[in-house]
Amino acid sequence: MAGIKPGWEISRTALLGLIAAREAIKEAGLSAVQARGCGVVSANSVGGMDRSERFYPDFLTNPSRGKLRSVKGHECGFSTDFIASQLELHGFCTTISTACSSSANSIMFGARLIKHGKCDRILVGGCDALTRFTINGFASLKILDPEGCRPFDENRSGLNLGEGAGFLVLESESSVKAQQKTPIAEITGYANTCDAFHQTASSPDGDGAYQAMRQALQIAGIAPAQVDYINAHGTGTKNNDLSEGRAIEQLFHDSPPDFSSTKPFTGHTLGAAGAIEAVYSCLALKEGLIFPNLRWQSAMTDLAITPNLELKRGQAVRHILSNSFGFGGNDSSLVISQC
Amino acid sequence: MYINGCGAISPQNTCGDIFPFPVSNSRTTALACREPDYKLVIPPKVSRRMSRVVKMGVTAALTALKEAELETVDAVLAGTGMGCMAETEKFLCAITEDNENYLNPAPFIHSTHNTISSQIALLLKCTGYNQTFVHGPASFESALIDGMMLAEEGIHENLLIGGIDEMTPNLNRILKRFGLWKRQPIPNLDLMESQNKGTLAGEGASFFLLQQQPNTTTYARLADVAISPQLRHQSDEIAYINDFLEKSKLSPDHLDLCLLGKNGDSRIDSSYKALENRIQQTCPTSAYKHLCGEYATASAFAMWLACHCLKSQQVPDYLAHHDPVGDHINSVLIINRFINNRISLILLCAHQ
Repeated sequence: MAGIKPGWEISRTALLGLIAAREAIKEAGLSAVQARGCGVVSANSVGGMDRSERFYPDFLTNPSRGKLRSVKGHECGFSTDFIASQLELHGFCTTISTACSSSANSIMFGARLIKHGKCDRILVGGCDALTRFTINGFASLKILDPEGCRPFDENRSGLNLGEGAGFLVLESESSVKAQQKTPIAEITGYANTCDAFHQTASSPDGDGAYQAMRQALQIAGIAPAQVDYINAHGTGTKNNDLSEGRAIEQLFHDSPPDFSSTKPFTGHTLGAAGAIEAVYSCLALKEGLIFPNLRWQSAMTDLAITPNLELKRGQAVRHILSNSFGFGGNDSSLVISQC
Repeated sequence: MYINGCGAISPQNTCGDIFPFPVSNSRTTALACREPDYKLVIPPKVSRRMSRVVKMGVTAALTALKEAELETVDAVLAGTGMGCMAETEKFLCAITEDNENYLNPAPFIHSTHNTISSQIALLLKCTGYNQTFVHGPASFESALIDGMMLAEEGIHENLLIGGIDEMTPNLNRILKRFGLWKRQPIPNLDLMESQNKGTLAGEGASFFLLQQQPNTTTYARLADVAISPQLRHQSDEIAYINDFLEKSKLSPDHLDLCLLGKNGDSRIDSSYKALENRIQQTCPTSAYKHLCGEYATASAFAMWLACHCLKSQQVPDYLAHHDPVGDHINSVLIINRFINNRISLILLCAHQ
């Protein structure tokens, strides 16, 4: 599907990324010249770990063993360079890795590069493949739900891992105007904060999440009441959903907009999650959709708010807040709006 | 932006207050950091849970903070090519050896690339912007670019920005198989004259405290940073550098020192040749990787060196042994070439 020979031992992360990135570039309708000048800001959590973990068992028995080709793509930046070279995007290129908020940060960074006039168009997003490393990692933390995850449910018992890639082509306002293009959506706000509470856990009051959402709305120049939908981080872990729920309550008080986690549909795609959910947000804006929070049954005793449970169509969706939180208390919020 | 504090853990004697530091020269294939007694810098209760690379990063960051006489900052930005390698390997080994049973989550938690910037934030109770760039040799420069944008946005005033990478025995073995290192040990000060295949492995952590205003502790002004797009021809590199300098109202004639990312590997150094010849017509050039070895964020160490040269107005012999440097050092340009035909540039100017 990616059009890459199997013998290259290219990481699945890079291949997933290439497929999504190719689709985004095609849909953006860039000319050949524009594509060549286009930059890439990608994100992932563990680089080419799916290949590295095949190399290690052999290597550990004897340091001269193990196929070297398998570790060539171990570094997080490899998949970004690979996507850039396959699609012949020769502009500015970098990679972000902040665990589960990685690709929300790459979207934010790309949007700021454009705002600062450093480029006219840039491919932003992220990709992550399932790996034994991450599956065992989350299992060792005892936060994997063997059943389907139940974000914001009183009886939620952990997350489901997923894999995938999401990419968006961001273009400057002046470039869009000059070409009389109709953009899908606009990145109007963004913020990143740090909980500075614990390496893996979010603070119970969700201070970092609250600040990220508040600051993102401030940058967008809109009031909380103008938000039509929140695509929550909503992993389904005890800790995240309580902390995020409290942050939403703190910001929106008694009248929060519809909110839901789409992770029951995709699993938690880690470094790709922010970008995949940003693509969902674009879809929601374009089609007037609000997504349901699957498998929810009972309200959390610590929260007064409950997620949206139905797929709503024909809604007037103008502004969406999309949350992505990661290890290290890394909290990012994006505001994605109708143009 | 002004660099008002800096700290480095490196294979050299960079933990002390002396510059030029007494140079360390040893016959080796890998330069390991000369690490300080972390207990003196990081509270032992916290330090016990930190991996080596985190301790290196945190110590460099705290040194920069202390020099600038600050208690905390508004944002922490890190660049790291390989991230927390030792913890990553530890968890990989555990999966392999324990057959995926009864795993201790600690190495997994600490394997995440943003552990260093997060631990700094945790220690400083810094709830502001926190970012980690992981794009090989462009990692540190990406963080600097982000930092300069943050400063322009005006929300964040005090920034900690650093570049950190650690070497581990396994990573060293793997990269050796890729043919990156010298086959035979050599004295590191002879690296630039070795002119055969391979370089010396290196590692280090360098952090900088950046503020909008200069003060009594100022080292230098960070005038500009850039990572180029792919440049087709070597002549494009010179044009790119000229354009970059012009934005700061400078030309190559104005430069007092140029630090190049050559690493003593004949295959790499030959790719610098055209650029070097051209720059040498107007400005003395020097290399720095004979001091710190090769690693993704070595340019952060180069920036640490440049900061000290600009503040002390001295260029040590072990840095500029080819060409005399002028009386007054006003501007230093750090140039690194990447294998995919890109270059990165960091321009520092003297304050005063």
